[in-house]
Amino acid sequence: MKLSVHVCEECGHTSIPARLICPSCRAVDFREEEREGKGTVYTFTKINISSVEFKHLTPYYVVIVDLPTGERVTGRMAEEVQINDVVELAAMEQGAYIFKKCG
Amino acid sequence: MNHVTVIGTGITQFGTLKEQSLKQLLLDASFQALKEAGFPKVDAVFIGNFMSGSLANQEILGSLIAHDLGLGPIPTAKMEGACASGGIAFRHACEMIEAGVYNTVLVAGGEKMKHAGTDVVTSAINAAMDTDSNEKAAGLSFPGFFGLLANRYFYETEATKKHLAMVALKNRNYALNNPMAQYRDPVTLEEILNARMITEPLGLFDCSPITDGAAAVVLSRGQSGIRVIASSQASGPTQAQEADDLLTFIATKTSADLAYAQAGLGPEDIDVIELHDCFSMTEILAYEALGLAKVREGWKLLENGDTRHGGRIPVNTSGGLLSKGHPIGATGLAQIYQIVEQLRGTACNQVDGARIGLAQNLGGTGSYSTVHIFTNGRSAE
Repeated sequence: MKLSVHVCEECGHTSIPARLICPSCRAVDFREEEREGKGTVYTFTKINISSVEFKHLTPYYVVIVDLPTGERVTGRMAEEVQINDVVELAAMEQGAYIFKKCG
Repeated sequence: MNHVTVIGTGITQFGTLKEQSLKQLLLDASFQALKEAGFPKVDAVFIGNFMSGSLANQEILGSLIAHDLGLGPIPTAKMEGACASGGIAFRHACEMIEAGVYNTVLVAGGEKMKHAGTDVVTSAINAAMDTDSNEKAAGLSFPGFFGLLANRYFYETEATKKHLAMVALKNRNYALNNPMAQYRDPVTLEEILNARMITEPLGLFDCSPITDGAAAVVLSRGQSGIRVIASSQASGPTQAQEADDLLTFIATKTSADLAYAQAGLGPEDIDVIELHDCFSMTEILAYEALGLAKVREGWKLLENGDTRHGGRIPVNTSGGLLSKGHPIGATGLAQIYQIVEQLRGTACNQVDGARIGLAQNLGGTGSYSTVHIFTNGRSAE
């Protein structure tokens, strides 16, 4: 599954969240591009105790995933995971990127 | 020559304070500080607080304190920067005195948290992250952010959960001697390592507790008291996925570099430190950002015992946030309270001959940091 990123028209800086001003070159024009939602786990945590709204999902994993194109994106997984595991975007749920292990 | 100096300090018990409102806690600490300062004419009041609206249903904290203490129609404000609220309030008082706007400012900080359930407090604390982001939507919690850091730190270094436990144990051992601390019962390394997991690899003792409490300081322009020789503040990323190096708190590093430059000092000149140990992992990363250790080598200070009594530079002699407790808005001022006590020579866990102290206060997930450096004006022996 693909995910969209915001690319600065001036310097090519990319970010997952939309920006008004490029943090790299201060230009103000952006385009959206799609990226393959597959990458490696940079780090993770297993959340046993959550806030009220996520209690029904515990325990769950929050992961930061490095895409080969250079972007870094935070998402959630149900499966146990380790650093360097290869994962892919499986769904978007209420604004959250949901990853699953590959293979 | 006149300086910005601390001429009065006050603090309440930290812990579960069922009978007292947030206002009463702030008044208690403020009264102590004003009394110690000899009840000077106060030109302004700044209050450090994070979530009095959501948890204690009380705002207008500045005018509340000025009114109830009869300080007159002076300007007041509440300052919010999550866990750095107290440090930010203190810094603004320093700046206004330095600029000649005010002569004397009362700075107080407090939080009332224990009456709410853990899940309610966890939700409220999540407001210290970007709640309009895919990270919040993923279910990243505040302790979860620090769990992400710890797992990556373990991966990049030889540090393990044992080193996190060594932070928690050191700070608990200091808290045993602090009568104001929330946790004063001894624990063992094994108990810390075997405690239930919150956001792995962080267990119960790796996380600062939910606490009621307040602290206050009177700052003035003059020659008596403990001098403030550096006051700095910096900001950092508000989302984990946006950090250039997740394991370097750029706000802490920037504020530390600014403060050392202002004071004309380096980390080797500091005798005692209170730094922001909201999680055991945060203390190790703060060692690195404050220049006490090289990047990715903070954990080695624990192996060497460098940051406890008898070591190179005792850190968090109050018991730290982990064991003294963390009433969020009070924390920055409670750290300064301990450093002032150290420089007066009257602290719990006194460091012999301490002349220069540093307080570092972090807010959010590395989103704010303040650093203050203090001296008692004594020359080195």
